[in-house]
Amino acid sequence: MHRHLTLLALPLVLLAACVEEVALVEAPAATPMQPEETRVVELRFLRTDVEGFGLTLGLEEIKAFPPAILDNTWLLDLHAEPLVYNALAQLQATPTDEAYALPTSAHNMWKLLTMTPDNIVLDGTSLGPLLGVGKAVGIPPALILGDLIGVGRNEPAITTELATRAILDNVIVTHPNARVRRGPVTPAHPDGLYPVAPDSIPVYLNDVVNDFKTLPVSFGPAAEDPADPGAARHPGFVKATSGLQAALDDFSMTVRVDLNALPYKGVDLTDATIGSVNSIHSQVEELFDPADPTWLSIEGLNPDLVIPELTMAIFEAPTFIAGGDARDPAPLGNSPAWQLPPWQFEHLIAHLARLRTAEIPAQCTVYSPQGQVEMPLEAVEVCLADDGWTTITVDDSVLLDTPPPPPSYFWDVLLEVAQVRLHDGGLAEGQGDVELTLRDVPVGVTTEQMVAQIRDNFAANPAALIDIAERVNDTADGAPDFYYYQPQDPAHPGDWLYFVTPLDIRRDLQNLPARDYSAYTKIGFFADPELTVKLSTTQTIDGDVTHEKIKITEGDTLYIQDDEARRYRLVVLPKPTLHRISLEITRLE
Amino acid sequence: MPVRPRQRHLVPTLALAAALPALALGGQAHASGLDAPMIGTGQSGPVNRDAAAVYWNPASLAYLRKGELIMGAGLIMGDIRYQRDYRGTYQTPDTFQFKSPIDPSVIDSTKVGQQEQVKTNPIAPIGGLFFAYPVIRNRLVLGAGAYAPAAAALKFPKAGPQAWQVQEAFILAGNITGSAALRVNDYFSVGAGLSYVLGFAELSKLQDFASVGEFGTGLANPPIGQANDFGPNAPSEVRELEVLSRPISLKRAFSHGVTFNAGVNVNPTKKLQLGLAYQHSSNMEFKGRFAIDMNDPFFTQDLAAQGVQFKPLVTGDAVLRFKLPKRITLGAGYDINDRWRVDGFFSYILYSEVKTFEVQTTSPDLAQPALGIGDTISVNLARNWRNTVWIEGNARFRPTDRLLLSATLGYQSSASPNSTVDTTSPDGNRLIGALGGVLRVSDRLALLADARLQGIIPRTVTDSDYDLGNGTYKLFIAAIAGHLKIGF
Repeated sequence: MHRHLTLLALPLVLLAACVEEVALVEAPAATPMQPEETRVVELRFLRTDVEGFGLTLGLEEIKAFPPAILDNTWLLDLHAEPLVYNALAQLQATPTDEAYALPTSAHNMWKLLTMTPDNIVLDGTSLGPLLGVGKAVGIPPALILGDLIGVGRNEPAITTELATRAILDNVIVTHPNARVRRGPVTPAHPDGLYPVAPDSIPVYLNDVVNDFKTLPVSFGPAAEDPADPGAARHPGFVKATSGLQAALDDFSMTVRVDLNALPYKGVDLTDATIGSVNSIHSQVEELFDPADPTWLSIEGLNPDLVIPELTMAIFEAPTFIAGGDARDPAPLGNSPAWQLPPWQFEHLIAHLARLRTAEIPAQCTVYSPQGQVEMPLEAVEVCLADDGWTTITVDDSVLLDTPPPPPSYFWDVLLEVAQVRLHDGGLAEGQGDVELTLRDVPVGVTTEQMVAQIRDNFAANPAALIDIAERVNDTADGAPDFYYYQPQDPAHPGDWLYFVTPLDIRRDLQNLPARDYSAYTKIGFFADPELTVKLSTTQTIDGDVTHEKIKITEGDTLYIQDDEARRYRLVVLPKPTLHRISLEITRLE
Repeated sequence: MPVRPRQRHLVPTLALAAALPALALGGQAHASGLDAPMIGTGQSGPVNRDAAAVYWNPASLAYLRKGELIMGAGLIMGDIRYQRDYRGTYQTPDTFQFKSPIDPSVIDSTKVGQQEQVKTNPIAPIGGLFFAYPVIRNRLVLGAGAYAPAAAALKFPKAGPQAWQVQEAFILAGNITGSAALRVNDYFSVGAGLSYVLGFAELSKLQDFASVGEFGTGLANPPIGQANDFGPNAPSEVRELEVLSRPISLKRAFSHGVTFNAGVNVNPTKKLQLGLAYQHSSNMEFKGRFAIDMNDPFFTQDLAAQGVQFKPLVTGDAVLRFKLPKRITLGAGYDINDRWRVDGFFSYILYSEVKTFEVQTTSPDLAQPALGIGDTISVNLARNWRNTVWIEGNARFRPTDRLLLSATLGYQSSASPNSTVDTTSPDGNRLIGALGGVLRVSDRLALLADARLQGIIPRTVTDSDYDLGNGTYKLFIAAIAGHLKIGF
């Protein structure tokens, strides 16, 4: 019924109805500017100054980020000492019966950590003759060794603390990825590399959101050093990890920023179209307010930061490395171990032994034969000098089957002992790589400490969050060569044109620049068509020191070159409104 | 012999015409009373006995002794002028600050004081058809009518200072009524009618998103979480921004409604007639299609990552709902002698029933889930109209047996308060004047001609809410109509 009545009314309605329906006006397709062609474009500068603009990212959203962002967003330098210490302490505390069930290489590492004067095996080492000395004078070698090392006969010769220190110094901090970390490219860090804190390994966003499965990649075999392709490559020290879900399913990271959320509008000179430049990068100085306790919040981190399974590896040299037998070159002596890369087992042990030696005061201990003699006989004298040089002197009256051990640095002695120990059970030289699979290893920091460190790091270097912020607020569009800006600083009022910088180039889905900035061979705004007299400068405005910029007023004429090496003339036309400019663009060639 | 029933009355139809845009577009437009235009002839009225009593007072039909058909057509022409007076503070249209106080450096120094006057000269057709026939002589009369109580066209400049209120509008409202009247005796009659109300509306304006509550709420909520002053109560500082002013049109909106009227007629003496009529309210629901131009990077691109991404052109269904109010009319007529008659009426219209207009737009393209904005946006626009009075008096003179002349003076009070008036309802206290004539060609045929003028005393408003409608309003409407009355 209603339809019929409506139809009846339609003729009259159609006769009289005259209200124009809103419809879109089709914009003409963009076409490249031709030589001598002139077009007029109008740009506006629109600010949406928002405070506490919340950028919240969930776990899945972060995982979906391009690898470049995940890999390069540094969260913190994780102090590795607790992690290594926990791992070694756990191995050292392994009961004997369980230790014998470990793979041989791990078992032998256990034996090293639990090595005492009483269980040291001297056979096959340069200290082997000590056995004969002991036999000749009736003094147990373990006593001599214990006195020398300064521990009881059943106390470990190597402490967990020292072993931790040695591994940190030789294996971990020598890994290229533990020496420098990736970060934003800034004038102070043009290569985007920053030093890692001492004894630490850098943790990136990718590590946290992917359950630290990335560690074997980050700290596995190192890539070739482009600056020194022939240099020895670090074999890495983490072979596998599993199970540490640092970021729980409800993980989220919220950053609150104060910013102009809108992009800057610029011109792609190729076809005189208007594009957008993401404005976040240029606001990095004012973007975050660390004084605001809510500026960065991280939720959903695992409160129990324990690595369920961690396999660490230390690699040995393919051949037996003899200890030194000369005091020179001081202060290390002549053992080939010192020529090895520091991460190799033999060098590590030598270093460890040297650390141990440094803890032992200089001493000389005299041993007399067992039983009663008329005149006390100083049968054996064992001396450790301040520099670690160790001498064992046997009185001539003591008859020996073999000469006493030659003098050497104490670390040379331990180096050989350790190598022999490592190959117990028939392992051939070169097959004694230490591989430790440990379970439930505490990371060594609490979640609160980790969050606090992340917050502090970002506060100190907010640029590290720029990639994420830009990704979340991806407003770039087109390929502008320059853009229009109105400074906030009242000292620089008016309308300005900014030539784009590499950071202004739109990123693709992989977070890589969508075009090659190096195609710009003339950057800035010039006074002459030949582009010889530059008018623009990089003067500081609103904290920006990187853009070539120039203030414009009506009637100004500028010259500019685009990324296709074409030159253009810009004439500033009368200003349409407070936040708009009008430009006449002419392609010159 | 008493003068033949005649009537009077015309009215500006623009009020209704103007009111609807306000409804449709969710802006801060305001409207005045939806008073009836010229219905019937200039000789029609609540105590006058002709077929147009179908509208005026169906009880008067009861005294028709024979069948009657009235056919008429005419034009309404208007001259509506508005000179906006910016009394609030505005930021420049190309600035974009959400919340007051705004930076003094971006205050628009040109949006101060009186602006260029805009005007429109609408012309709209009117017409009517009334029929009455005594099915039981001297007892029961049936009647029917088809008439357009509202019809108007507005065409203001698209870029004028009134553009946020209305740019263009075309409104048509038509009633089809069936009536019955019972003559109890020579002194008393009753009557009632049932009407189908067909409405049609089209309009366009600039939709100011600063006044849309959902938009403000969406910006205030996460992820953007920005405090703002947007919403129906937005101050002038954040209104009329270039980016947020989006062209919108409503097309092909039809309304179907039902209402009724009833009345009594009392004749205490042969010379005195009294009438009391009641017109019931009518719920109007216009359903049509809307289109809004969102083609600005701010809406389509720049905040896409935050969930603000509209299609460049959003289209969908629109529904406008409001109520045509009740009214009660008391009329009286007195036949002084065979040549002279006076009559008049007093109407009290309950426009205070009209508190808000409900506007609902639906489109999947409206939805912005990230901002909590669904595919349907409803806006209740405060109207806060006042009850109005309408008084008219007529003097009718019959110089010859074939000729009748009439003159009318009247007054209508304004429904729109200063706080809500704007160009969609260029309302004010109206003075009404009309002249009419009837030429009886034969016992069965008469020709009627009417001219009706009305205008408001130039109305200067300085206390409009949010500075939406401050300025000076001028309105003049002329209606001319010719009718043919046939008896049978």
